Amino acid sequence: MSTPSALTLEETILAVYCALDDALACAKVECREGKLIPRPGPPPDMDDREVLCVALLQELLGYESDHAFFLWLQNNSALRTAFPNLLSRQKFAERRALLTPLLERLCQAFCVLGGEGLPPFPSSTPIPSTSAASSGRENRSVSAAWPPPAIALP
Amino acid sequence: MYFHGVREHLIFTPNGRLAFIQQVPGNRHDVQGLYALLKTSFQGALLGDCAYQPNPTQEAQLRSHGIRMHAAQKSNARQPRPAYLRQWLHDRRSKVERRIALFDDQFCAQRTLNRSLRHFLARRWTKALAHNCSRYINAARHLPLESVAHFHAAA
Repeated sequence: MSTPSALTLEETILAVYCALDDALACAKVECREGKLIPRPGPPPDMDDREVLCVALLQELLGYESDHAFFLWLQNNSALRTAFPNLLSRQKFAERRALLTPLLERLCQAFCVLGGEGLPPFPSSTPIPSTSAASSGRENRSVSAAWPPPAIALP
Repeated sequence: MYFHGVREHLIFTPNGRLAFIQQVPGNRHDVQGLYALLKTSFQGALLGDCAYQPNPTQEAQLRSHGIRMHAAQKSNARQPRPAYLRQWLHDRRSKVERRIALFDDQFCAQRTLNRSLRHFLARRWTKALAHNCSRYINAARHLPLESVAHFHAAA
C-alpha cells in the first residue's frame, strides 16, 4: 500500500467543512441567520454549521470524551483561529443534541453523494469487499511514517 | 453514575455508507430491532445473522412494508436451505460484518460517554455522520477509502 498523503489539521478542518456544505446542499438545508433548524431567538454567536463541523472533527480525530476534546481544543491555536466564537463544552453538547434530526438527513445525503443512492437496494446488488489497503490496515503505524518521502521510489 | 445498555442496529449500504441506525433497549432480542423498522419509512433488502429471522406473522408484515430479510438459518432449522444459498448469504454477510467491525474500531463505537438519552442519540448520529463524511473526503482526495488514520495523524 502506498502511504496516504498527509493532511494537516487546517486541511482537515477545511475538508470537513466543505464536505458538510456539500451534504447540506444535497439535503436542501439552508442556513438562515446561523440556524440550520428554525427556532426562536437571536442569531447564535457560533453558526450551526460550525457546531456540526466541530462535532464531526471530534469523531474523526478519535476523541471519545467531550471533556478531553475540549481540553485539547482550548490549547490548539489552529482550531481557536478557525472557530473564534467557540461555545463552552456544555452549550456545545446542548446544540449538538438540538441538531440531531438534521444528522440523519445528512447521513443519507452522504449516501447520495457517494453515488449509490438510498435504500431500497435489491438482493442482487453486489457488495464490494473491504480490503486491507482500502481500510489503511496494512500500515497501522501510518502516523510514524509522516511526512511521506519526498522522492518516489521505483 | 448509571449504565444504560443499548442494542444498536446498523444498516449499511452495499458500498459501505451508514444508511440508518436503530437503537433498542439492551435487554431486547435482536429481532426486535428488525420489527422496529416497521415504524419507520425504511424499505429494502437486509442481510443479517440467524438472530434476525422473523416469525411468520411479522415476516408477512415486513414484506407488505417493503422489507425483505435474508437471515442465516438456525443450525436446527427444519427445512435447511441448499448449500449454495447458505454460501451466497455467508459470502455477502461477511463483508457487511467487516464494515460493522471497522465502524466500531475507527469511531470508538462500543461505548459512548454521555449524560442523557438526548446527548447519547446526538453523539451516535454524529459518529454515523463522521463515518460517511470520512468516506466522502477519502474518495474526493484519493485516499484509502475506508481509512481514518490520516485524520488521527492530523490531530
